[in-house]
Amino acid sequence: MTERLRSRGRRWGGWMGVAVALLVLLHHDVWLAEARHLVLGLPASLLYHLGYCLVASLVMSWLWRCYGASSAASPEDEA
Amino acid sequence: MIFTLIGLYLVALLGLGLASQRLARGTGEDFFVASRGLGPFVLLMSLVGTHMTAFSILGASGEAYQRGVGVFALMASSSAVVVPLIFLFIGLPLWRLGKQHGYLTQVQFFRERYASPALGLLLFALLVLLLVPYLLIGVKSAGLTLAQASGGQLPSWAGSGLMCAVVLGYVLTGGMRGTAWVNVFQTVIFMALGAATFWVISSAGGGFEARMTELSRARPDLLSWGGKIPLPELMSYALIPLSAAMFPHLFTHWLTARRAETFRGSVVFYPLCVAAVWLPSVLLGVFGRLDFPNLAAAEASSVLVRLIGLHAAPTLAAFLTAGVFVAVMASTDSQVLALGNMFTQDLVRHYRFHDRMSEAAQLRAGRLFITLVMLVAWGLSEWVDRSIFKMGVWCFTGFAGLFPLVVAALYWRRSTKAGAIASVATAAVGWLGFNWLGWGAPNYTVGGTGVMPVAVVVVAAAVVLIAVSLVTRPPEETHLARFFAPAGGPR
Repeated sequence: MTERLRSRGRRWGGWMGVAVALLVLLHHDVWLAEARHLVLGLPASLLYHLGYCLVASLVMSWLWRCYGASSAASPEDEA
Repeated sequence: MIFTLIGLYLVALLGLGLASQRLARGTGEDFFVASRGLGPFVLLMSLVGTHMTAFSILGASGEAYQRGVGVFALMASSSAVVVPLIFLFIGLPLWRLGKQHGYLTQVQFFRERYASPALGLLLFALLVLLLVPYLLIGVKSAGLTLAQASGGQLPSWAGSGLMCAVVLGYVLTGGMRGTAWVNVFQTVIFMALGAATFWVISSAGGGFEARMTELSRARPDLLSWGGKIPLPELMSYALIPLSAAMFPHLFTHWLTARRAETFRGSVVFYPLCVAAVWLPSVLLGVFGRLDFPNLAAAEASSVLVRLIGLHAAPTLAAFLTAGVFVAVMASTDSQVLALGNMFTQDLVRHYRFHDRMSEAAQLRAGRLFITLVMLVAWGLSEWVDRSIFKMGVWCFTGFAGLFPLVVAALYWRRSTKAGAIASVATAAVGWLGFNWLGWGAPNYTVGGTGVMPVAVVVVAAAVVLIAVSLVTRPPEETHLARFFAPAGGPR
């Protein structure tokens, strides 16, 4: 189990970097910088950043499965 | 009414501190890190309570009042990514090393990692220096809230002093377990009352939709970040949350985790908790422009309490103001505990004063140190007139400057003692230098370019660390084996 989780961590390492880099890029919503209209009752940029937080939570859940779970599987942690 | 409620709340906090003392085991590890036995829910709530502070409630609403909804992008959504990554890639390895080697403070880890007492001392001094403005945010906010809620009857110095006394009371009796319990209680209360505050204020004046429409007619500039926040500023602000990697109080909270798996909830749900706290703060801040169009920068920090007073019935206003007060206290306790922990472990025990002092004398010395630092923060709170948000950014810049150090300590075997000391010194000089340059100009950016000082401080500290490490002798492999797995990553 531990080895399987660690191997998953190694396999997804590059993709984890890509996911984080994408999140950093998407944070800077220059295309909405001047948008002053409301979408679903909220300013467009604010709604975008709310959605961004939701996506961040999903990415973190995936990162935990790739890295955190394998890291947490160290036998000495459970001692 | 407001004072009765706040009085009841403060009594409840002291009661929680005393109740948690019944579970105490009488050891330093139990007092400072709750015997490393807290579960996922308590860890998540205490981390959120500790990290979502007066800065996120009064500071965010005050800044949104001035600069619009872009403030959410400036701090909240960048924190939603950066802070959980720090929990995962820095908090988790530090927790593991802390458990393996019995560390209780950051200084203990860095001192051993680089085999340098000088680095330990330098870091101790800088962390205490950086914690003072952080404490100042909570202390000043408490005074501001009570002064505003009482219509000026209670001066701000008295409100700040009351908060200092109560925090000292329950931290010194309950230790980390008491503080974590209080943090859970505070987080639940302030999230519930925060939702109620948002509902009450946004329902006034025709409801949320009507207020938003009115805002888009009266102040459309507040509905976007373009024009209010230059792109270099937005980009460099994303470095501010790196400060979380070096907050002494977060480090202490990480050490309380029972197992590595305990971190999972904090990593996954932190982005949602940030959004839940910052969204109402930012929206209420911009709504404040409709009711109080001409507040000065320092007054803007109290716009939330002013809105409550204007829109809520007196009894409800008392509850909601008590909720704001709860929020501003939420991280001060952890900071105070971290200070006491650092003083006891990094000075008293490390320099073997404990050989000459009884356990009771050590405790007295620790309490005296904490009380002195709180007195300094209390005194400064009456003197410093910056906005809560600006004070927070000023303080976080210094902590962020130490980010390269913690990354190198965990992931770069080649980093050396000299590189680490040079990096800390660069961060300290950069932080103090930019404070001196920007003291009279709250909106200071580097050379007026829009770039925040944090970008220069972090990059300079990283470059110096790398350069000095590469030209100095690498550490011994036998020493590194204590901190790195054979494959190269942190243990």
